[in-house]
Amino acid sequence: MSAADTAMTALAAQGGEFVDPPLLIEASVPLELSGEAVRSRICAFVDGQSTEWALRPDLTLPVAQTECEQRRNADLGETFRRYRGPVFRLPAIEDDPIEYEQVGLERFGAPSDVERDVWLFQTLVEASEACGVKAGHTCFGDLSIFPAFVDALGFPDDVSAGLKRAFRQEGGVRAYLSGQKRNQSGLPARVSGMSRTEIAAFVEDIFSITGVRPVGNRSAEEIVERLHARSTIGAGFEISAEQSELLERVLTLDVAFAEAPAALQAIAQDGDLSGVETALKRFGQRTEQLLAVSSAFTRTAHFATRFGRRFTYYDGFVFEIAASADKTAMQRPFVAGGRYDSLLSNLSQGEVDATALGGIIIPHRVENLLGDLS
Amino acid sequence: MTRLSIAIPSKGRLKEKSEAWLSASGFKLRQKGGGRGYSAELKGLPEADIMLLSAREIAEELIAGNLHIGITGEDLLHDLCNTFDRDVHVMRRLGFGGADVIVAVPASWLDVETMADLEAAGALFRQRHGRRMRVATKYLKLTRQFFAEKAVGEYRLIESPGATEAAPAAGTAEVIVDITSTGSTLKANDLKVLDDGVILKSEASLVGSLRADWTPEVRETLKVFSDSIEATASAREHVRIESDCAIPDSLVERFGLRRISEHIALSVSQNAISAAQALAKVGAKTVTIATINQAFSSDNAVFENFVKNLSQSA
Repeated sequence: MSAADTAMTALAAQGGEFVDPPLLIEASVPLELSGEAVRSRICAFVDGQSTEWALRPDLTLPVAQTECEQRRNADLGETFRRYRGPVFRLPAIEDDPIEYEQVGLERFGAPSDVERDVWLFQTLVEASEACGVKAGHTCFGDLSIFPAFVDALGFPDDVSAGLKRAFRQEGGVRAYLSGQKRNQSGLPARVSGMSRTEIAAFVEDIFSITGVRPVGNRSAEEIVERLHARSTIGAGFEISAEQSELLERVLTLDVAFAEAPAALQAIAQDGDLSGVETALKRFGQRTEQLLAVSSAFTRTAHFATRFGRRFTYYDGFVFEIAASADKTAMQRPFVAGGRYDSLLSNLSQGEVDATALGGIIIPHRVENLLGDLS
Repeated sequence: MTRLSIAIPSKGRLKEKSEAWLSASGFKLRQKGGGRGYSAELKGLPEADIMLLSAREIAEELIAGNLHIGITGEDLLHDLCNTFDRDVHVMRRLGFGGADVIVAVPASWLDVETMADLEAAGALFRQRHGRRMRVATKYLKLTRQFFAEKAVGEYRLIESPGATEAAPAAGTAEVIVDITSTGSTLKANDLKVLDDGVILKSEASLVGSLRADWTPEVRETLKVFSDSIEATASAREHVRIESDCAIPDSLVERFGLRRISEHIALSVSQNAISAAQALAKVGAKTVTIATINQAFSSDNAVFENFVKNLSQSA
């Protein structure tokens, strides 16, 4: 049996329904979801009507799109989808194939808890073992950790939201922190403390004096709304050096997986933070249970706060398993998965809201690995 | 390839300025088939093939190694090169065709003055409109790199080959990345440049391809061409000083003069008058200062650097 067949059988043992989603998706789906960062990886083309299409870069997107359609009309409760099929990505590493097969699963609407996270990891580890891979190096992340620390620091909403977005960009947090001072001058700072009505009048005044009028798709009201959001930060507000340092410590944390809960705990204690307890407790429980799943896959495991942020729609638990901790091996993981509870909501403009988690196994990498071993 | 291929912009002000610039070094452009032909020759450099192409084509062909040298904008090179330092070598910036590649937003966006403001406005725009803010540009790579550097992810690119400045008013995009020299087109379209929104300061440049086939004959032709170009460039910065008394070594040293003979030397323009006055003090009755057309020198650092770069990248 091929690795793909074996993996399919292993996943099918967990239940669920086999789905076969379309190969083509509108390119705007990944581009709107993830931004231009994914442009360099997707295989896209334009049709006669100027619509841009893409060969699916993963199966999660088309499966989630179908799920959205079905959930618009009916309350489906919990669902469990399994799939197998080709995906298409322009290679990040020379000589990697553009087209390759993924075998995977998606669960929607299940409780968003530690038990499901651990189940996902265990299911994929068991599928790997069934294929003959008896050990691996796992990198774990949790994309909800940094946001939890930001929230606990109690910044104004606009600052918290900005920092959380910055977290998803390479170098974003540092750029945000160093941009603090510069942003204190100029017009946005001058409306500080004004009410929304006052800001609206102020903006109208400037428009009538200068003769400038809003053009295109962004209205005067949106400009006022943004100025108001900025003004609520307050003129004197600044992220302190201690707070910057704490954020930097959380952001750059990169430790053995087993030590991660204590390391995060220590940062919270040093900063005398309250409000991260729930997130850290959940993280601690999950870490403990994951370590118990399989020592062959977690013995060398690693945790990094930043790990997984390039998987743009992931928003919680995330992991990848590779042959070893070696850099080239880590670039070609044979298993990946995690949680993306906001995916359906983002795909449906908020019309559908259901939790989501899923993962994949990449058969050709499993086979390469088995070939190397034998 | 045994002949040096040179590409020159085929139309507009860039072409006129390039022609004037070449002719100042003694290379007169003669177009075959009148003013509309796209092949030409340079009087004074019969060993070269001259092509008239758009600035974008020149950049593309230089990067591909299909041309030896050409005049084009640095904006295009930076946008089109994957590995700038291994593809091309800027031999000389020409002092015309100066323009900035910038990020501009509607002047009515009072809340947006910096790239960080743009990021926040983009996030709100996405919430309100259910889609990402559009950035129209022909500089796809430069834009992507710059926005990533500034950690701005809340946008999508729309390719716009021309009239980009009209996109915000037309509603096809909210933001533009475009090239501007005076800013008047931006103003006329009610757009403003962000405080930290200058992506690149560009100028027309003489550019050598590091990917082309540089045979010894071709290098020799380039040397002839480059010597004359550099002689003209040097003449722009120097004047000729002639004195009826011998110019003492002490003054040559003090004013950084380049001695030509006992009575004649070249001086950097801004030092010339002081040098003349100093000469009067040591006994000169008459000192003349004259502008020059070209100052040839046995050293041509521009050519040497290019050849060095060629051998390093080979």
